[in-house]
Amino acid sequence: MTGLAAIPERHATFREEKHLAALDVPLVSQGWLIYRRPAHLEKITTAPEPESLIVDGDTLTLAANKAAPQSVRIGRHPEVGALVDAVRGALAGDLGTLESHYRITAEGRLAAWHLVLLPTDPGVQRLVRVIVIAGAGADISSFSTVQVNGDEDSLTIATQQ
Amino acid sequence: MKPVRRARPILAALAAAVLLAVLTFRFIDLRTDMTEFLPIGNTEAAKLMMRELRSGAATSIILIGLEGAPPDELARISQAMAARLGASGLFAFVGNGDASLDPAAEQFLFGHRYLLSPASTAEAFTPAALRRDFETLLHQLRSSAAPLAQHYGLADPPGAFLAMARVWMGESDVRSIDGVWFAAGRDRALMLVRTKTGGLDLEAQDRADTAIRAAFADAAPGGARLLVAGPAVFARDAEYGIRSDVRLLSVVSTLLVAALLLWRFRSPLVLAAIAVPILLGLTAAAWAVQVAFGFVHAIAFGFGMTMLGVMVDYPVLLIGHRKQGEAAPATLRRIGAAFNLAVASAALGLTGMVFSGLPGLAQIGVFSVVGLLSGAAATRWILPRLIVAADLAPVSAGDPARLLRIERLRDWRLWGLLPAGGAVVLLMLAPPRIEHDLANLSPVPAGARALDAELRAELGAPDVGQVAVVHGATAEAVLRREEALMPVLDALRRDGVIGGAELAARYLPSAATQLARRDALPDDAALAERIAAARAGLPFRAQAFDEFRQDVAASRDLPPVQLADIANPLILARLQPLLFARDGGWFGLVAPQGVTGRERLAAALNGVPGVTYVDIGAESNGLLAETTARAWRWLSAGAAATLLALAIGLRSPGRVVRVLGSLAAAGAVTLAVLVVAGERLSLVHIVALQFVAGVGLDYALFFARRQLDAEERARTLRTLVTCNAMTMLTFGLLMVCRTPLLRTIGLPVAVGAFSALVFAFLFAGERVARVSGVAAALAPTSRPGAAP
Repeated sequence: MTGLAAIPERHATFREEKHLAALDVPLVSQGWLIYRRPAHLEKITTAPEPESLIVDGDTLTLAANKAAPQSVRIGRHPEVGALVDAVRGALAGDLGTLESHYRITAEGRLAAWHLVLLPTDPGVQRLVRVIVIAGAGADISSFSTVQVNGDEDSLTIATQQ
Repeated sequence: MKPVRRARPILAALAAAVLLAVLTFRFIDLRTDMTEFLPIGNTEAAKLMMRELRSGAATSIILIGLEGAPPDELARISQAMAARLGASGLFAFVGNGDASLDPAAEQFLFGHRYLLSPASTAEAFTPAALRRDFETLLHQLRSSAAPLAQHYGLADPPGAFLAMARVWMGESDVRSIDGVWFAAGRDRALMLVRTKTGGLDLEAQDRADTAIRAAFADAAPGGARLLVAGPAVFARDAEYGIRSDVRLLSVVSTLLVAALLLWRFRSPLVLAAIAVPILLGLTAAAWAVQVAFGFVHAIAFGFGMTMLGVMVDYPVLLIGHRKQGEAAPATLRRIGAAFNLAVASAALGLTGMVFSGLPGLAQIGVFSVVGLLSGAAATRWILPRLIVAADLAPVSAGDPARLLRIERLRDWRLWGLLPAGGAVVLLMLAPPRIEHDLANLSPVPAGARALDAELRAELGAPDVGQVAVVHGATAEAVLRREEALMPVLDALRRDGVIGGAELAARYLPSAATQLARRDALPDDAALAERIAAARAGLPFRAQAFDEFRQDVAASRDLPPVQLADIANPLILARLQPLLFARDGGWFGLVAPQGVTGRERLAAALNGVPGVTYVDIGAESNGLLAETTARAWRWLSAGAAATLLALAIGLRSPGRVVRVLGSLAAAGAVTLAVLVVAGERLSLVHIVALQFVAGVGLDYALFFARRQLDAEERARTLRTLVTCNAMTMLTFGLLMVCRTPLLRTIGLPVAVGAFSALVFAFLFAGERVARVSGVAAALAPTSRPGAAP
């Protein structure tokens, strides 16, 4: 965690795979992740559909291809807040933020570790079963969310040097 | 006679009068609410609207503004308040930002989406439409909005629920910070709440007000300010204003009059004697209003109490003019003619008020005129016996030498033309501005109304300027008529004539429409087939749309939703003000927002069967013009009758001219004062001026009496000064009232009464002849009147 906390800005590419009960194939997309301390996060999807999701402080802005960008205040949506904090908390190495939403178990060693996050908030529990964050050293390598209905979303991250 | 025995008849009469008054005020229906205080309108639709606006569901809205702190801070306070108010259980609706439906309301609407939603069409269930929906859905599942798409999209590919939710949440363009509504032009957070009870339940409104203020205080507001407006707030403020005014007027004016009379006559017995006709007058007045209107409005009663200052003139005139030991007929003979004329002119001075057509003002007029006449009658026929029995009279008529010095002032009376002429010149240079807006006569202060209009505009809440009333025998009939109206309104919106319109049918379609939608739904087998066709080649699993199929199948058995079936408070709060039963029929309100073309709107809605368009502003102001014209007619009639009474009573053109001249001068000065004070001349001023003319005549008539000896003139002067002081004190009190109507009456009456006395003294009385002045003043015998 201290290793994670030392890095002020990260750039990474991601590959996202969604396994949904409604679909018989996974949905795959890819793009960029940018994180800047303390609270700025960008997820820029480049393929197959361009989209940008920017979290800055308490604001989450989603801009899809044609539609006007939509902003929401994270503070008003605790479930969204818990998910955003899971990503940001992990990138920032901020164990306190993670612990405010999840019960955490850490496993593995420094070269190959993973954190298992179980939501504590009942609102989040209704949606998310577990979040698993895996990494090596100061880098995060994947981020998977398993929803209550069994749908799974995994984000594989390759940090850019 | 011993003093106690002499006092006995007076005390007995007083006891009887008090008893009568107490019994009367226990019986009559004294009201303080402000409904029915303004006129109700001419057409049926206007009447319905006015009533609905003043007492219906519309009155339960409270508009809240928060300002005076940074936006973040205001948003936080707004959120904290919304949470507190929502939990208080006092409000049917609490809105402070991006409206969200509560889970129960959402469940209800989601369950009925294929009956209620405008997107539920036969076309929406064709394979081609479903194919497009599925493709969109796939696209959404790929995006970050996937959770929403999974939640709503799979169960409702045609988007029936979301289309309906857009209607329910309102496509408001209110600026939003942190999800909290803000005014467009400034840092002011906005909230809109609706109390569970109507706006006229004072106790409930008190609780709501307390809850709002407590929620604000608990939100640690720092330097932020709380603004509250809305019909319920007005009603409450007006009612408290009226109550405190009535207390002020009845207690303070009684004390002032009593103190002045005690000082003047130095006899509690005189006070007791004067109280008898006053109490009888008030009792008769209360009865008359109760019989004529079915209730007595507290404003009328409060004003009636200030009429004390005038009513009390009659007993004071009688007692003040009596010589010690004189028999009653002798006093009456000396002052009788002037007394009768004074009563007649004061009563005629109230015609404008009585026939004004403004219910509130008419009550005040009836209360006053009956009070005056019966007080005068009691003075004329009951009081003489009482005062003769107790031998009540002024301690002294006053020092004749001093009288003479005062009367010498009349030598310079031409100077008195200066203020009168000045007033006339001023009025010609700056004619009084006339009030055309009925709203300015309302018991609600202008500042409060301005705040209400401002918050309403900022919230995009329908203002009550224009409204269409849809009438039908049943709720269903109203909804069908509204559905026929919706294309018209949509066209007006496209053309920019209106910004939008609130109406019940947008939320609750008629049963006919719901049944048509239901009948258009495919049966399960057909739907399964179409889904299979639509998803061919897409990665959706076969069971992905099972919930959709189940819901469509269930919808085919749903009975149409009717108003009576809806139990969710949030949904009811939206519908009830827009659709309601009154007088055996059903009514729907169509409230356009952001109206830019009133004529086009009127043209589009007028003549549609079952629809009545009401431009409330124009309607009320038309009503005001009509009422004002009527008041002028009655005022002229009153003036003509007064003139006739004067001509008969005075029997001398010269005196008539002098009496009227002094009155005209007083009127000019009063008008000039109103202009300088920046008042807009309204109906209320007009009738107040007429009233003051009636009272002012009283002074002129007494000064203008013929053949007076010095002692009698001294008695007249002292008595009139006493009367005038009482009038000024009691009407002066009106100026510190909280109720605008009473305040409006106060200024012209107080200024008018004072200038009437001054001008009556200068012009109506006769100048003391220079040579014989002292001798005449000292001579106890009568002196032939000499015209100047």
